[in-house]
Parts: sequence; C-alpha cells; structure tokens
Amino acid sequence: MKIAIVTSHPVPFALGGAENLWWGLQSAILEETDHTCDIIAVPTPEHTFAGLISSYETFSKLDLSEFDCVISGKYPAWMIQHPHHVCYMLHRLRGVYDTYAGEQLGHLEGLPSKVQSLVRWMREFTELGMDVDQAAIASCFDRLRTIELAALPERLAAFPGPLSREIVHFLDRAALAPNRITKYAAISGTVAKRPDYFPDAVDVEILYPPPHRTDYHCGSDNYLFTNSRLDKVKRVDLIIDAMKSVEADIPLLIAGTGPEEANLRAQAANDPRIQFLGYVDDDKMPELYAHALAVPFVPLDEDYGLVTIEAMKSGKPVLTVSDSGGPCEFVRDCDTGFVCAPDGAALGLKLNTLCKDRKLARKMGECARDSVAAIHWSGVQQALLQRADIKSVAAEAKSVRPSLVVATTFPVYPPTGGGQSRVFHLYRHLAQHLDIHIVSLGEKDAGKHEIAPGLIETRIARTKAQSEFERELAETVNRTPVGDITADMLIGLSPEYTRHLSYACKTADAVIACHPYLIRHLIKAAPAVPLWYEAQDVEIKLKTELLAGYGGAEHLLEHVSRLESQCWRQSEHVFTCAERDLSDLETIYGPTLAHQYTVPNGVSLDDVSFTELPERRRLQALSGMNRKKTALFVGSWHGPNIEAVERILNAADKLSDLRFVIIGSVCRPFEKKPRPQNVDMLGLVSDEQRNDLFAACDLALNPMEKGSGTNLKMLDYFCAGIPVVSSKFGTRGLRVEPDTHLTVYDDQDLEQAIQEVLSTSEELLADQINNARALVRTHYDWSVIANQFIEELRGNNALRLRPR
Amino acid sequence: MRIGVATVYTPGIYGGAEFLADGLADAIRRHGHALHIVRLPFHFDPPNAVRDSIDHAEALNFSKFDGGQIDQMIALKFPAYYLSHPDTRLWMLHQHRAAYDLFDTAFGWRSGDPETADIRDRIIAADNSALSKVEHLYTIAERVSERLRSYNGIESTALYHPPANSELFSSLGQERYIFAPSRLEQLKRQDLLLRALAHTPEDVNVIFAGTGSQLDTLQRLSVKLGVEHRARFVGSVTRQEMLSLYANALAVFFGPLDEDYGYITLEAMLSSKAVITCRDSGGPLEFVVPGETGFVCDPVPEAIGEIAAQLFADPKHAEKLGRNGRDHYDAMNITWDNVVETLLQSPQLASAVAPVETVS
Repeated sequence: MKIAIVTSHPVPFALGGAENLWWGLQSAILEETDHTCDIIAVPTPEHTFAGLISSYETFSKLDLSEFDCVISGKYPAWMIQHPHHVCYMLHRLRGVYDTYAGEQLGHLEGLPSKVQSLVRWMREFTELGMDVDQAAIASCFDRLRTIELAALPERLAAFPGPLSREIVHFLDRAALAPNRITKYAAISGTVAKRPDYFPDAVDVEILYPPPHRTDYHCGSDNYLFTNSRLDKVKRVDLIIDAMKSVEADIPLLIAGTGPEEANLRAQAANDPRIQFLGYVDDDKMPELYAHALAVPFVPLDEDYGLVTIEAMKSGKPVLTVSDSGGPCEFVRDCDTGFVCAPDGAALGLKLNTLCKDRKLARKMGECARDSVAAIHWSGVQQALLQRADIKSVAAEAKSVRPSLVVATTFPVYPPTGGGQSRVFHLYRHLAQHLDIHIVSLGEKDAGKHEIAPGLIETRIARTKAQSEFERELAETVNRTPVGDITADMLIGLSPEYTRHLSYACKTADAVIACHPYLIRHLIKAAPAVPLWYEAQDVEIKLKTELLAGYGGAEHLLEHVSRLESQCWRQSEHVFTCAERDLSDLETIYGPTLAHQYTVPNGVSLDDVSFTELPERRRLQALSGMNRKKTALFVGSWHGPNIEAVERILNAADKLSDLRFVIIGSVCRPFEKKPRPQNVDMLGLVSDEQRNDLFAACDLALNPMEKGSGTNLKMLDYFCAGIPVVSSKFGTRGLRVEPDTHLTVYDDQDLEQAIQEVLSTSEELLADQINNARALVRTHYDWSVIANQFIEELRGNNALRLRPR
Repeated sequence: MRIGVATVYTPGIYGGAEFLADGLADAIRRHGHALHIVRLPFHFDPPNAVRDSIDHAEALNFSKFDGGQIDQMIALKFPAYYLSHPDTRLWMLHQHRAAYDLFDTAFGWRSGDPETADIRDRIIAADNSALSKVEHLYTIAERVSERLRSYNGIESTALYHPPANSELFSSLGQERYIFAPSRLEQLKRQDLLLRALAHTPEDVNVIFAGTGSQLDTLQRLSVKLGVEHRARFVGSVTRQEMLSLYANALAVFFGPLDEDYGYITLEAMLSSKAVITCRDSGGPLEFVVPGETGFVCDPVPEAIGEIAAQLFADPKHAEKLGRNGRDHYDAMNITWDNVVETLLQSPQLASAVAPVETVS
C-alpha cells in the first residue's frame, strides 16, 4: 500500500512534538512493513483567523488520490478527503475547544447579515442531522470568501473568538465525520475523552506514541529533574513551590525555555538548589534523565506528555498531579510514582518521601520502566493499519470525471429567470462530480467562461439573419417570442453555434438537450454519444397555451411536438421537474426506453436570506403605526401567473385593510389596467429590494391553478421565512403538508385563507416557518437535489466514460 | 536516510512540475529512502499572492532545528527553494519566469507596473542571495542554466531526467507522416510546419496530436493553405496511441519557441526517429545533433519544408538518423537513478564527478 502521512508545517516553521511523532511513525512503517510511507507536509499559516481558514481550504483541496491510505492527526490537515483516511488524533485546535477562553466575547448575536446567514446555514447541518459533504465544504469556503474578516467588529474577528470557534467546529465536524474516516485513534485517553473531540458513538483506539529516541537509560540519582516548555499551563511554578517542603539538599534541574522563564527564575531566586538549564540539546537529554532521582511533571490537562514516558523509560518515578491529564494515564500512585493533589505542599511531601527513601525511588523507577515497555512504534503502526477491509483504493479514487455537453437556446449566466436559475444551479452542483460544458445561444457573444467550478458556458450570439427570421415567424403568432422553437430550423444561420457545439462534443461522454429545441443539432454534433433530455416542462402543453389560435401556430406546434417526441423516445435518460410531467409525456408520446428521473426544482439557500419571525415583526414595527399588513406575490410574465394576479386583484377588492405587493415581470400586462388602491405593482426589482420585501412582508401568496412543473416561488418564500398561503394546485410536486409548512386552500377561498394566516398565533406561525425552512434545506437545496440525481444516475450506470 | 523534497502546490494543477516531483519521489523511494515532501501552496495571481508565498518559503527554516530528522533537502521550484535546511540540494525547474525571460513579453510582468516592480526586485534579490549559497545547484536543462547564468550570474549544472514510461518507446516502422505531438499553442509553432507543407510535394503528410487554444486557427490555416488533406489533427490521444504514433512515424517535428526542456525530443529519440527542430527552440538543441540525429532549421516554413521533403525522398536516411538518435540518448544516461544518485551524492563526490555530457 502507498501511505501518506498528511501534516501541516507551521509558518514560520517550528519543530514540535507532531513532527517527531510523524517521523517516528514513518520510520516504523518503512522498517517493519512492505508499505511505502511518505510524509506530505503543507506549510500553512495558522496564527490568524484568515490564515487558518485558508489553511483549512488548502487541505480540503489537496489531492492525494494516488495514495491508498492517508493518516492525519491534526487540524487543518485532516480536511484531506480520501476514501481511506485514518485519523490518529494528537489534538484539536485547543483554543476553540477545551481551552476556549472567548466566553467574555459573547455569543454570535447582532451579526452582519452575510455572517448571520452563514452561521445559520452551518448550524442547520447539525440541527437537521445532515452530512457536510465535499460540496458543502467548498460552499463554506466560497461563502467565507465573500466576508471580509478584517472588517468585522473586533469581538467577531477575534481569534480565538465566537466566530472562528463556530467555523472551526463546523469544518472539523465535516472532516472527521464517520463517513469520511475509516479508523479513529488518539494518542491518549485524555485526548479520546475530551468533549467534542470525536463524533458520538465511534470507536477510538488509544495508541500511545513512544518518544523519538530509544537511548534512554538509568544511571545514578543525583537530582530532581523536569523538562518542559516554560509556559503557564506547564505549571513549573508548582514544582518550585513544592521545593519549599523538600528538606534534602538536592538540586532541581529545569530544562526548557519559554515565556514564563523570568517569572520562574524570580520565584526560585531564594533557593540555590534550583537551576535553570535553558535550552538543552536533544542529544544530551537521555543523560539528564539517567541521573535523576525522580521527575516531577505537573502540566494542566496535558494531551499526552512525552516527558512522562521518557522519564519512565529511563527508569525514573514520575510525580504528577490529579488534573495533569495524560501523565495520570501512566503514573500509578505509589507504584510507578505519585499522583498528588494539585498544590505545592502535597507535591513537596511526596518529593520529600523519595529523597529520603532512595531505595523506594529506585523500585518505583523499575516498575515505571516495565509499565511503559509496551509503548513502541510497532504496536502503534500495526494498530493504525490493521483493518480487515483495507484494500487498495487508489485506482477507484483516481477515476476521471465524465464530461457532459448541454445545449440550450438561452444564455445561462448570470441567471435571472426560473429556467436559467434551474440550469445554472443544477449543473453547478452536478459539476462537483462531472465536467459540464453548456453551449448556449444568446444576444451577444460571450466566449467561453467557467461560470462555476467545473461548469463552463460558451455563449454564441444568434446572427442578425437568424434574429430577423425569428421576428418574421413571431409575426405569425402575434409577436409571441419564438426564439426557442425556431432555433431548430434557423440555427444554420448562426454557424458559429453548431461549430462550437460540435467542438465541445468531441470529448463528451454524454450530451444533454435542455429543452427539446436543439436535439437534431446535438445528434449531428455527437452522433455516437449517449443523449439525455432535460424536460423542464411539457413543451407542447405550454406552447399550445401560449400560441393556440394564432395563424402561424399550427406549423410551430407541429414542430414542437416532433422535437419533443424525438427527445422523449431517443434519449437514454430523461429528467423532469415533476413526476407529473413524465406521465404527461408518456401519455402524449407513448412509451420510451429511457431511464426516467424526477429532479425537482431547488433553491439556492445562499441567494435568499432568512428572517426569523421576531426579526420580521421588528422590521415591520420600524415602518410605523399606519402600516398595513402586506401580502406578497412574485411571478414572471407567464399565463398561469397572470391568472393568479387576477385572483389576487379580486381578493384585494374584498380585503381593503391589506396591502398587496406584486413583483416580477408579471406586472407588465397589468401596467395600463385599473387596479384596487391597495395593490402595488413594482415590476422587476433588484435582489436587494426583493430581499427587503421578503424580510418585512406578513405573508406570501401562491394562488396558482394552472401550469406544469412546480412553483419555485414557494421555495423562495420558505427560504425567506415568510408564512405562505397557497392553492392546493400550487403545492403540486412539493412535499408540503397543509398546516405543518403552510396554509393551503381549495378552490375559491383565497381571502379566507389569508385571514386565517393573519389570525394564527405567533408560535404556530414560527413552527410552520421553521418546518418549511427545514424542508427546503433537506429536500430542495440544489446540492441535495443534485446529489440525489447523481446517485440515481450512478445506479443506472449513466456516468460511464466513453472509450476514446 | 530521510530525504526532503520541497516543491509548490497549486490546487487543480498537475503539470510538468508535478510529473517531475512524482518521478523524483518514486526514484528516491526505490533507493530505499524515506520521503518528506513539503508542498508549499503557491498562487501566481494576484502578484501579491506571490509575495506571500515567498514569505512563507523564507519562513520555512529547518536549519534552526538542524534539519530535524530530514537528512537532506531537495528543492525544486520557485519559491520553495527559499527554505533553509543545513543540507540543501537544488534541482531547479525554472525561476519565476514572469520576472525574468518572460518579463516585458505578453506572458510575463511588464516594466513600469508598480504592482509587480517591487516583487520582481525582491525575487531577483532573493534568487541572487539564496541560489549563490547553494553548493549543489542543478537545473533540469542547459537552457535553465543559461538563464541563471545570464540573469543572475550563477553557475549550475544541467541534470536530465527521462520522459514518462521511457521504457515503452520503440520504432515499429515508417509510415509516411511526420509526427507533431504537442499542445496546440502559439509558442509551440505548429503553424510553421503547416506552412512548410505548402512547400513540399503532395506525399508529405503530418499528424498533429494534442489539443489547445490554436486548434481552430490551425485547422483554418490548413484549409487556407490547401493542405487540409495532408494535415490530420487527432486531438488528445491515450498514452498507448501516442506510443504507436511515435513508433510508426517517419520523423518527428518539434519546433517550439525557446522551450526549457521538452520531452518530445527525448521521446522521438527513444522511438528512433529523426527530429526536426529550429535553431531558436531552446531545449531540443541540447539533444539534436544536426545532420546526425536530426535537423536544426531556421524557423521559416521553406527551411522546414525542404528538410521534410528530403526525409520523405530518402526514408533510409531518416531511419539512420533515428537510430543515431536512440544511440545518442542511450549514451547520455538519462535515467532517474542517475538523477537521484547525482542529487544525493556527498559534497566530496559532487565536485569529483563531471557534469553530464551535453551536446553543443
């Protein structure tokens, strides 16, 4: 097996316990097994909030798929994703876990909206018990990039502080989730038992690593010796204090340097027995241990404490205290040393005992040496790599991504309408697993752009000639836009499009007709490549409603029907927004051999900000006493939406106490028509305006009675946390339940339903809102939908590579 | 021994540098050493990110700890070679070209740009200081050494490594085509060969393998020149197909502009094929012996066309040049074993062993 030990090197580089540990493990694996074992070290800055996040991201993107197994032991290295990942934990980032001292910085409240929405998004994974997959990890870094950490209020930007703590917990939880880790181990029981260090209910094997030297030995007993970095948590002051109780004239040698050195020297100034050795070369260490009588070592909650093992391997008793953590796992009181209460006098008493009874000290030292004899690298190495199911996974992991080409008659990025939004978000998430190239037709050439990681759009302008012909054909149907329908017959006038399409198809493993209109050109460009059909609607139904009755309709509709039928029958895979569309297609065009999928419409939670009910009420109160309760409707210029607006206008007549706000292009056909005083038609609004309306309105409406697909606006409402009233028809294709998620009415009772919502108690409304939001999160977030689709495609062996 | 290999890492990129680092790592493992690979995250854009990477590399001071348990460190790439280790060997792929030979070209930084002027000064100063301290300074090619000499006044030795799967190349015959494998990019100058076709008899054909930004342009050009029936673009091919295209070619054309090294020359020689290159092609000139293993032409279509026509008229001669090329390759000891042994040899040995013989 090819093994990689993955680790970070601090910038600037410092040699610590971790480095020695990995070198020791590597040597053991190389010497004792047939495996190869490399150390892969990435220097990463970890001392600032921003540096730490970029370091986490670096490891999340590191590709070690050429190895069969990776071993990690620390943040941020364990962000590495690998099918065989062994976590041998040294510790987490203690400053945001067990030694977190940011409580006085308060909780995460009063956050800027972007941060607020990020925090909520992260917490929902835990609340809803969802896995944080690789896509979600990438998304977390994307969102963090949009937040300027340096510009945050000091309280939030603090490191460690509440926000860094939240983020590190989220990322660690993702990295160390059971579905990503093959085996868990820890360097000590102390580490294994710390709260939040390991996922619930996983087995954590405790594997004590030996010191990096093997030449410890026992000599005389001339002095007391301790060895540690001189900082507060090592509590060397306790040992100096204990010397007051030691009667013997025995030196205490203290090896090590650190920030506390001056304080400690001052504390020891009056005791000539105490000597500071400063930095001691590693080669001299065994000799220092060898001639010690005993080794006091009393840190606070130490992860492991190699000093204990080094002393014991040198045949010396160790004196520690009850809250020292790691050392207490080795020192058996009165047997291999002493475990005292954490105060100087108690420790001094035991030091005194040993000074007086050197025989006892020697005996304890021998017991100590025996007790750690079993700590050696062979044991650790064998346990880490011992799994019945170990197999070489490199080949599997290294698979090449299949590549897909999608042909559309409309530009995709930036998405503004519903159809564009679907294409962009669905393919953006599929692009986590596949390479996707959209070749689209637009008004202007935009060349080839990566519009999301792995998702490319090449946009080609329709030529003047094509536009002119389109206009002529539109004249035959009362100038209804027919750019999509006519693309099949007119695309020859824009030869650049077909040229780019066939170029893109050269390396495609499958091609997708998104809408039926370019299918014939797609087949021509990629004759031997599997064809998929994305049916966003039942086009013939939609276009019939749109065009029927006009002179040129018959000819155009026949065309639609022919293309749609061809897509339905010739594709290997067909996917629609709703189950109903599949059965409609089958009714109209007969049976197909294609695999069929429902890929519901989703929402991109990043794009809509959530407003909790109390916050909504606060915002509403801000707008003053005269405020009327407000109902909102969003829609594009589309037959079923127009009818819904008419229904709203009727209701508005009767509910004059309420204000009705309608946004979107559906306002256009109403521009010149009379309407009740209490209705505002705002037309197209910016995302910001929309979000403001979403945050402050009282309820949102979906009085739809027609149309295929599902009503995406519902999901936007849910995401934003608005109480929703919908017709029964309007809930089609969504897993909503009346009262649990929203208020649903039958037939003509829109007004009554609106009043019902306005009289619902705040608790019930808050429940509905939270349920609805959770539903979106677990079922309609694009990443969930795309992942599910990918799984189904895999099940049908759709993601195979074409031989080249 | 535990050998450190310090290189840089940019997510999503696997290119020549990564291939080189992997090849070196494999060879070091084969020699029974433990590997400690340091991958320094490196972003070349925006220019300020380069500064951060330099800082991080300079902060990687293993010397302070006497190298830890890493016995020797081999640094490969800018800016990873700024790290400190008590026993450093450098095998340089290239310097930061945007600041050197690509400076003031379309591919590098521009003079007078305040954003990059400082960084460039810093890079040059850091190179001068860091590289002059390294005792064992090797480059991957004479071309890189030349630049180091002319820009920084620092001497180094070229140490050649083999292309991937070098053992699989062979000659199977002589079909009537010149093979031109390479990414289709302007700097690779496939257009020279296309234009040369217009100056050759009808029976001279070319097969281009590889894709790239110039595919459309080249295909259009072939139509314009009326040679589209003699120039085939086969796109990206599998390694197996590539081997076979080499094995059956009459000769290989590789005429890039100032290439550092260029595996294509070596692959052609391994396949016993004559190589046509240009006098400003850089790397290939280190390997092609004019008139013996191939040709070094002026970078003009007429000159290339003339050579191509000659070879098609006398396939026996082409075959002989190819065989010479293979012999020449074998004589140069271009192996990973040689790379590892040279890089890891002790200081005394290093000064005693002569550099790999190069062809002038």
